[in-house]
Amino acid sequence: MVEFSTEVVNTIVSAAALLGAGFAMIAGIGPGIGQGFAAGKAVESVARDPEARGNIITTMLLGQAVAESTGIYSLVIALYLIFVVFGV
Amino acid sequence: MLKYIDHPEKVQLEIMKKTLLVALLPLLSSLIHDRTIFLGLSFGLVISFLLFRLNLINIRRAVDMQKARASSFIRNRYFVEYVISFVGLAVAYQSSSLNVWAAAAGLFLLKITVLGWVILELIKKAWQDKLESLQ
Repeated sequence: MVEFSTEVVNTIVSAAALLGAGFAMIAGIGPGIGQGFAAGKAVESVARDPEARGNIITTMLLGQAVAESTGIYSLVIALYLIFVVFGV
Repeated sequence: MLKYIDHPEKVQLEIMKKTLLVALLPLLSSLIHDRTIFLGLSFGLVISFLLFRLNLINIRRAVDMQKARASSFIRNRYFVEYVISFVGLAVAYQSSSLNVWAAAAGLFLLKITVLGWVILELIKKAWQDKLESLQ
């Protein structure tokens, strides 16, 4: 069985941590696309029924606030991997 | 919340008040126990409140635009907000007087409050419907 020195193992762990952080950041793209799509639909709805503007804005505000949280989860995981595991 | 649904500012203000109410106990207990947690939580809460306010301003602007422009505008603004969250968390990590996990909790608290509040409203509505159907 091949045995690696501690230095090599540490390097592999650091590289894996940085790769993991990069992959975690991919999750931040989804909410952006979704929010953009929701904004487009909100514009359509306001054009169709201008009186419901306040209702649409409130619904969109709440939806966006909740949708953002998945992006922040990935951000926290990426920061953990970069700062704590990689040790910047 | 549902009674003010036509007034986004009132809903926003109410959400902020409720979030502060939810955060009151952790804030007070951390103030006694560990000051870095208190400062981190306050820092995260302030950032999330300001981002929430910015969100409403952006949505108001987007609603008056054309569809494609509104989509790209909101998408770009989301990434700006994402970078602001990253900078906030990175500053909390680098600073010795701020607890980074408390700052992250502060960022999440507003979203958790919104979710909890909506779930409570749904339960309340379902309960009222059930009572009415029984009567």
